[in-house]
Amino acid sequence: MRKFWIILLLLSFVVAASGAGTGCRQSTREDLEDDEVGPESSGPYAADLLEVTDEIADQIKKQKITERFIAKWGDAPIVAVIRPQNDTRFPEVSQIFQEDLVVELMARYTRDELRFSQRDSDVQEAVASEKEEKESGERTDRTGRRTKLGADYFLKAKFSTLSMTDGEYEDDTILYTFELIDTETDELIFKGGHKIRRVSEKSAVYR
Amino acid sequence: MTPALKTTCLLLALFALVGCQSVYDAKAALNKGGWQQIVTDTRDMNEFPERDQTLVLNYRAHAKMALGYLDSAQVDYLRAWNIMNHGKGGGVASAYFFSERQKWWMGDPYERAFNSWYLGMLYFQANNREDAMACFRNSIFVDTGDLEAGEYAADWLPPFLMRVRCFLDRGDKDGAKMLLDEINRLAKEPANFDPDCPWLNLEAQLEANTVMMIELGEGPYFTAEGHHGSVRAINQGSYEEAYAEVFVDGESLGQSYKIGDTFYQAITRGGRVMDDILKGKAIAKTAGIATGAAAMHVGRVLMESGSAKDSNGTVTAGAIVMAAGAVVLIASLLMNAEADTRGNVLLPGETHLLMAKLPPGEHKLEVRYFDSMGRELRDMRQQGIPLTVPEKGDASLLLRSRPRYVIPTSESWAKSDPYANTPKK
Repeated sequence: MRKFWIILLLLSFVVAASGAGTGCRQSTREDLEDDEVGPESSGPYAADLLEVTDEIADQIKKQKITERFIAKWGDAPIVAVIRPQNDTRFPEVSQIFQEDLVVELMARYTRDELRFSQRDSDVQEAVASEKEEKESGERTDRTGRRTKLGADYFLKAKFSTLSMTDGEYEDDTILYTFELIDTETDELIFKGGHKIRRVSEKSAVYR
Repeated sequence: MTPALKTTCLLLALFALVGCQSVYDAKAALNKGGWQQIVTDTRDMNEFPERDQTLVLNYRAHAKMALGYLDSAQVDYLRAWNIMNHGKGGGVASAYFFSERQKWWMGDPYERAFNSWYLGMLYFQANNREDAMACFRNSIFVDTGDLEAGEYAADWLPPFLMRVRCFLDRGDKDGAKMLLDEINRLAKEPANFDPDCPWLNLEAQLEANTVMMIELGEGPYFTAEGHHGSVRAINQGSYEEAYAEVFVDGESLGQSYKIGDTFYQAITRGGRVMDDILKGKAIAKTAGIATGAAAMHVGRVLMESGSAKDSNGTVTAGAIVMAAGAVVLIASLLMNAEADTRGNVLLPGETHLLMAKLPPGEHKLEVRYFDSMGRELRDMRQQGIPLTVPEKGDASLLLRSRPRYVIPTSESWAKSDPYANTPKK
C-alpha cells in the first residue's frame, strides 16, 4: 500500500513538472521601453515605435517648421498624418504608430503652434454626413459656413523590412522612414530614417 | 483500497503523463452541426488545454469567418497569429520524453501561412489594406519549404496574388510587377498551381476589379504510423470537386484556376527536428523494454538460485538487478514515441482563383462545382451569393465548395458577436 502511494506521488510530481496542466496565467505591467520583457520575437516593439515618434517630433522642432510657417503666414501650419505604408510582415503596427505619433505631437505643441487635420476615413464619413444634416436644417448650425481643414503638410511614414529565417532564427531589419511634404509645392521638407534589427530564436522542435 | 481501484488510479496517472487527452475533433463537430457547432463548442477557450488553444483558436476563427462574423473572426485570427509568430511555445521539455502532443501547437509552415492568409483576407475585406499587406507578406515568409534542400520556399500563390492587389490599390504598378515576376520564376508544377492561370500577368491584373478565392475539398491530415507510431504521415483529404464555374447575374465568367494545393504545401515542408527525436525515442523505447525485461528475468533467476543455495549475496544482487530492470522497463513504457497528429483539419484541399471586371453596383453570383471529368456536382451549387463592386478598388469574395461559407449581407452582421444573445453554459 505504501509503495503504491509513493508511485502515485512520483507520477503526480512528474505530471506537474512536465507542465501537463493548463496552469494559470498572470499579467503584470512592464515598462514599454524595457526590451527584455514581452514576447520573444523579432518584429516591431512598442519601444521601437516610441523611438521613431521621438525622432519625428525632434525633426519638426529642429527644422523650425512652426516658427517659419507662422512668420510667413501668421497662422499655425496644419498637418495631416497619413496612415503609414506597412511593408513589414507585422500587422497592427501602423495604426498604433499613427495614433501614438499624433498624441505625441499634440502633447508637444499647442494649437497656436501646430494644428492637425483628422483624415481617418470613418471620421471623414461622419463629418461629411454631419455637414449634410446641418445644411439640410436637420441639425443646428453656427452662423457662417466653415470648410474642412486643408493640410499645409503631409506627414507620411513607411515601414519596410528585410526578413530572413533559417527555421531556427528569424532576423528582421526594420526600416522606418518618414517625410514631411509641403502640400502646395510637393517640396520634401525633411526625410528621416530609423533602422532597427531584431533577431529571435525559435525552439528547434517547432521547425 | 482494492487492487482494481489501485490499477485504475495508476492507469489514470499514466494517461495524464503520456498525454492521452484527446484533441478537439473539429471535423466531427463540423459533420454534426456545421460551422455553428464549432462556434458553440469553442466558446470558452479555458475548456481546452493550453497546448491546444492556438489550434482551437484557429478553428473558432475559421468557423466564425464561415458564418460571416468577420470582425470577431479577425480578433481570433490575430490572437492566434500573435502566438504563432511571436510566441515562444511551451511544453517542449515534456515532448522530448513524453508525448510530442505535450508541446504547444504552433502549426506547420503551411498552417502558419494559412493563418496569416485568412487574417489578411479579413483585413482586405474590411478595407484595411496596409495590415492585409503585412499579413500576406508574413504568409509568404513563413512558407519556409524544405530548408535543408533549399527548395519549395515561398511557393504558395494566394498571398502573392493578394499582395499584388494591395500594390495596385496603392497605385504601385512596379510593386505589383515585381511580385508577378517572382510568381513567374517559380517552377511550373501542376501539383502546386495551374500554370495556365490567366491572371499571372500585370495586364490581366490591371484589367480586373473583382477577386474571387474559391476553396475546394478537404486539406491534409496527419496519422501516426511506423515503429511505435513515431512516423508522422501526411494524408491527402478526399474530395471530388476539381474546379468551379462562376455566373454573375446569369452570365458565366468562366472557370476557376488552381493557385494553391494544401497537400502539396504540407509535403514539401522538409524534415522536422522532431522526426529525428521521435525515431530515437522509438528505438530507445524498444531497447529499454527488452533490456528492462531481460534484467528483470536475470534478477529473478539470480534470486531463485541464491535462495536455493542459501546465498544472501546472490539474492541481494538478484533483487538489485530486478529493481534496475523494473525501473528501465517502466521508464521505457512511459516514454512515448508517438508523433503529434494535431493539425488544422478545417483547411481546404485547394485554393482557386477567378478574376473579372464587373460594373460597380450590386450583383448576384452562382457558383457551380465540377469533378475532374467535367461533370457538375449538383448538390454543391451555390446561388444568390451577394457581391458589391465598389466604384473604386476591388471587390473580393472568399468562397468554399463544402462546407460552404456564408457571405454577410450587412455590415452589422459582419461586425456582430456570434455569442450575443446566447447564454454561457
